[in-house]
Amino acid sequence: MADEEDKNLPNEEVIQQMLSVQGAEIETRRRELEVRASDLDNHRRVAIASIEAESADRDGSRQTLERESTKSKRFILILVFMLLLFIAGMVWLGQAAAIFDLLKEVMKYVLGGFGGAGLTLVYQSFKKEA
Amino acid sequence: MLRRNLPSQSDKKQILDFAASEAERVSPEAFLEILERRQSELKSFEFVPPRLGDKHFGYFRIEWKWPRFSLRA
Repeated sequence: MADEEDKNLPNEEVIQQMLSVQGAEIETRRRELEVRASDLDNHRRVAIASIEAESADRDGSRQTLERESTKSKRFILILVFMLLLFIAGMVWLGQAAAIFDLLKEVMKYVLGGFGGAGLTLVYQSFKKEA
Repeated sequence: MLRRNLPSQSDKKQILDFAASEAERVSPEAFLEILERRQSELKSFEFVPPRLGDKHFGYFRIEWKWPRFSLRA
């Protein structure tokens, strides 16, 4: 009876083999976890880099907008200054009436422009509602 | 008096339509939050880089270990 039980038990060699396989499996799992941890870390870095890139881009576009706005303001100031200089010159030469004639001509285009812009706005609002 | 007994708008039963999905597309900010709070629920994840002409700076395509329910639009 005791001999039969001994036969059913796995021998030492088999047990050693099983233990080595289990050890290898545990080592594989550990490596897998290491790889996943490093993968997570890499993706975390990528996410942070992406957020930083977006914020840098936003800052860049904000600065560009500010620069453009300053440029256009400066352009308008120069234009107004030159217009005033022109008017002053004409008054000094005694040609004030010519300025009014010129203004009449210019105002036609300015009013036309405003009318066109207003019509476009109305058309766009209708288009949005539809 | 009769008016008071009538069911109001809030008393009406509402049917909400939920959809189960395992995959999701999240922003880098949301991905960082997921890593902080629900990292163990993640099955797989990958970064989708931006391409020329895209308005975003890349996003993450993640897969949960089990389906998540979200309100269908």
